[in-house]
Amino acid sequence: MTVNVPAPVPSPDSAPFWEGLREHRLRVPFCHVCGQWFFPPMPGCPECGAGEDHVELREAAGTGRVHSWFVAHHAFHPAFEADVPYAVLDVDLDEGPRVNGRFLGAPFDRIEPGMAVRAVFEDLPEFTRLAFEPAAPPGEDRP
Amino acid sequence: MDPFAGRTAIAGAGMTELTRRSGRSVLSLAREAALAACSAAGLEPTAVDGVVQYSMYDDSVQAEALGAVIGARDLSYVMDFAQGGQSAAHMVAHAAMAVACGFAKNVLVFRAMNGRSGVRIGQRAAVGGGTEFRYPLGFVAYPQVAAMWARRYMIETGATELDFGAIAIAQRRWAERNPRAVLREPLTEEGYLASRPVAEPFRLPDCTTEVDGAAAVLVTSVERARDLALTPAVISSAAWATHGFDLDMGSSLRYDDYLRNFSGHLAGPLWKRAGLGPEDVDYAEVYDCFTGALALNMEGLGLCAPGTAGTFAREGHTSPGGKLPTNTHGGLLAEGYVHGMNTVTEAVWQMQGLGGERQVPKNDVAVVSSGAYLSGSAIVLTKDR
Ligand SMILES: [Zn+2]
Repeated sequence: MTVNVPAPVPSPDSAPFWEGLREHRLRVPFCHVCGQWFFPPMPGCPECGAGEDHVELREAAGTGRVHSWFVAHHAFHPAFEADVPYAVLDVDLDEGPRVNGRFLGAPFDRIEPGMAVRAVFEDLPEFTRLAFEPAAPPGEDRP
Repeated sequence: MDPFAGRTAIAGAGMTELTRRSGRSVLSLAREAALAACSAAGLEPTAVDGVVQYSMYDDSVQAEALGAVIGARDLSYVMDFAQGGQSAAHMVAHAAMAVACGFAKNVLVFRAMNGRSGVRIGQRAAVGGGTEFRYPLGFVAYPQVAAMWARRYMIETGATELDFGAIAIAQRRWAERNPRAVLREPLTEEGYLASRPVAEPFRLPDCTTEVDGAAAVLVTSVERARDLALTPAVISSAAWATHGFDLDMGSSLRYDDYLRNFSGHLAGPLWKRAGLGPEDVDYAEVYDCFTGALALNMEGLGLCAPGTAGTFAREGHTSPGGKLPTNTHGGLLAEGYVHGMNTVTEAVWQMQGLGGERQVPKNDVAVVSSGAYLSGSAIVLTKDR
């Protein structure tokens, strides 16, 4: 039996993020009052407290560096049993905010702290999810 | 004078046995632990006038329901707190505030759960908050959150998986002496390395063991506690800290420093209110849902230097006979996951001289912490003199 990957249930705050991923664009909240980017999408700026009217989900470059990661060996949800082992990254985007994404495009032993990565978009039947791949060939992706 | 410090005490602690399938209702487990705490203290359950409890994913029972099944009369203070492992010390602090401010005289604090046969927190999918950004990735369980923090800890400190292993091994030595513990067989480094990876860098022994069971303590004024059966464990301080929170406790996207969890943020006020410091602690009962969380909590409270918790454990300081006995029940890793409430009961028993085969030699000052990453709480207990 195939179990579907749990699909996001977007809120009014997050819908533009998911719509962006579907179009293969990484859209991240940006506050027009303090000029900071942040993540996750929220109905108020966590940097300065400005209300949602001042926050826009704006396209980010999709480039960043690895802050941390884990490699899942146990699937805590049946939908991921076929995927193990898989890696999930903490990525610090060049604009500032940290986001999570799957690691694709290279073996896990390529992952290193500070490694430059770029966003890629995994299209699933119901939605598109965020992933990252190495931004440069092996040996050329360190800070 | 501080309006909180030293005015209240834990007069007694109680627990059920810990099993993988209790076959009982959560309320029945809560009742047994609560009556055991009252009995240890020598207080009639009818004298209880306050009940406080916490839950996760609605896995507990209401505080007032416990009052009903122990025959307590009217309650003048209740609280149901819907948070997890960060709660235990904070619930004791709430009971102590209620007593110190005169809202109630005798307050039971409990945690009861069929954590193995019922709702399994470690495997349960939460809804809402920031989960919509994690779950589609397969970032679905709390051990994975802990692993993400642990990897960054290794990057910044140079710690290795064997440092996490040393923590699990040290705590297992205590569990060997604890009949209630669910994991009592010795753990070796070879055994640790050979165990199943869960969320790398974590293996199975890095993660808590889910159980069915309950734990409870009775909080009252220091004066009343002196007239009861056992040595009062005086509540000398308490503190809570939240840092870097965004939408839920599993989201660490806005947390700036994975080397300094909540405990590094509450340690200052905690020690100041107690008029004590980490160097005064005789034994520590520190939240350890994962080995990596134990490391951050030890370091954040100032019990060992940043980045050294693994070395500290490997050198035997936290083990039986060491200079800072830590998690003398085996911790949540080996005794079982009663969500940190069993960490409080153990601290009380040790202070009351009820530690049995694992009794620590010096038991005047203890620190107890609750929580792992973004938020949590702690208390300092001192023996009444
Ligand atoms: Zn702002």
